[in-house]
Amino acid sequence: MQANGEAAAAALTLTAAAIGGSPTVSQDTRGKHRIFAELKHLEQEARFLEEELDKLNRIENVSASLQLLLHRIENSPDPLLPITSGPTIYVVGSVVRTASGLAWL
Amino acid sequence: MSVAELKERHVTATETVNALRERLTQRRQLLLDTDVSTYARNHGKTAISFSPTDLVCCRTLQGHTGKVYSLDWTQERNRIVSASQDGRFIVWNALTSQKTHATKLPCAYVMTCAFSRSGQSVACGGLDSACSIFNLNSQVDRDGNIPPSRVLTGHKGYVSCCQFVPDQEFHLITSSGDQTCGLWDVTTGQRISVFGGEFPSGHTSDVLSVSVNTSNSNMFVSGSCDATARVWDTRIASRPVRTYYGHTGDVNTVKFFPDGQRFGTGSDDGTCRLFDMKTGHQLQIYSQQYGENDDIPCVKSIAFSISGRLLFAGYSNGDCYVWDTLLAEVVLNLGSLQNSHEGTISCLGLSSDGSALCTGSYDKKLKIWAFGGHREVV
Repeated sequence: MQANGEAAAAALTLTAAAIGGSPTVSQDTRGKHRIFAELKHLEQEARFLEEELDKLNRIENVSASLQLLLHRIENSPDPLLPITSGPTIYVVGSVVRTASGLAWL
Repeated sequence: MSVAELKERHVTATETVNALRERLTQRRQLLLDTDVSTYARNHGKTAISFSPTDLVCCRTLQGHTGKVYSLDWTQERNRIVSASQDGRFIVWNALTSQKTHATKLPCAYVMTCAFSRSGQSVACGGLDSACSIFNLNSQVDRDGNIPPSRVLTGHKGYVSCCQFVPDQEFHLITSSGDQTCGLWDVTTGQRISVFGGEFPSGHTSDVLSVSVNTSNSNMFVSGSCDATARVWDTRIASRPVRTYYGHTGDVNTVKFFPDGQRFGTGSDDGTCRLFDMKTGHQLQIYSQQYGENDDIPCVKSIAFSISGRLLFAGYSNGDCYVWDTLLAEVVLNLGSLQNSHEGTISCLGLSSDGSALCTGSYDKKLKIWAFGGHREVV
């Protein structure tokens, strides 16, 4: 398990200082549009994050899903494993045959 | 509203987003009560034990004259397509090692290749920012090359990865250096959907890899230089279903787990991770211990065995670790076995029946690995 502090690092880091100083009137319009678009993006991102926080309240712990994972892995035949469950794997001497009938060796 | 007022609102909105992200991180941390290996050990599971001759190289495919960058298997009949720095793709009969097709690509700088579901078409993409589609039944030109039947243009950056949608012969998913993924109809050449780009919840850097969910082909996962993986629903291009954090470097490779409920990732940070698609939980980290001054090798490519018990991971230093996914232990290193590759293993792929793994390498060769030991069936 690892602290997911990287999520904070992935957060947007734009600050007012990065946007720039006072432009002239003609430059002002371009800057205004850009800032407005970025603001809309940020507001939408905030809504998405709030939705995700809400969903997290209804999500179970990690351990709740692992029993199924173990069961699934252990009960699936696997031609690359030295010990595996049947019935789709056939062993003829050292020849591995799968359901498709291929033998590589 | 004045610029100054907008700037103030921008600062406030940024602080809000950052605070929400932090709350999300902390809330999710509370749900991480265990991981796969701790849970498996607590339930008495022990690691897979391979003897030195259990997994053997049973075929070496030679013919490329440059590094192998990408490979893909057909769904049936066990053919492999590979793409190389030599500017060609080659189609191999994996059982006989014979080449059935070898074609020079319109753009030599290829990065990815994929078979269509039927195996009749091959898609290749790369630095030309396009994906070329080749019909293997087409007549060759005077130079012996198959001309592309369609070229998919629209990406504004290199095409890093492509995969056909498993149950749709004519739909292709691509990932690109332009920070987007695309869904294409290869019969018309039209891009049906763009995932990311202008929308704020898309990737914020180059997208390097995609994997389509074989259990639900409406879903695919992408991995990016922004250190995240994102799951997308092909019917909703405006935003990803979920974003998965954890890696601290480029996510070079993503692959769905066989049951489609989880997916694995591999990164420049040297780790592989397993995520639960629905909950977003990071279930396990697969990483080695390195010294402070060691160069940490990047994970270039991953593949799961058909049960999901094994995770194959190719690294930039030539290692190809076989991880026991339950115990998070390295149980074998294909890179150190007899007759293994002599360079970075750049791509991996499992055959459709799970009986063989193909590896492609910077040593210009492909190798096929299968189980050659004594098997116990329980």
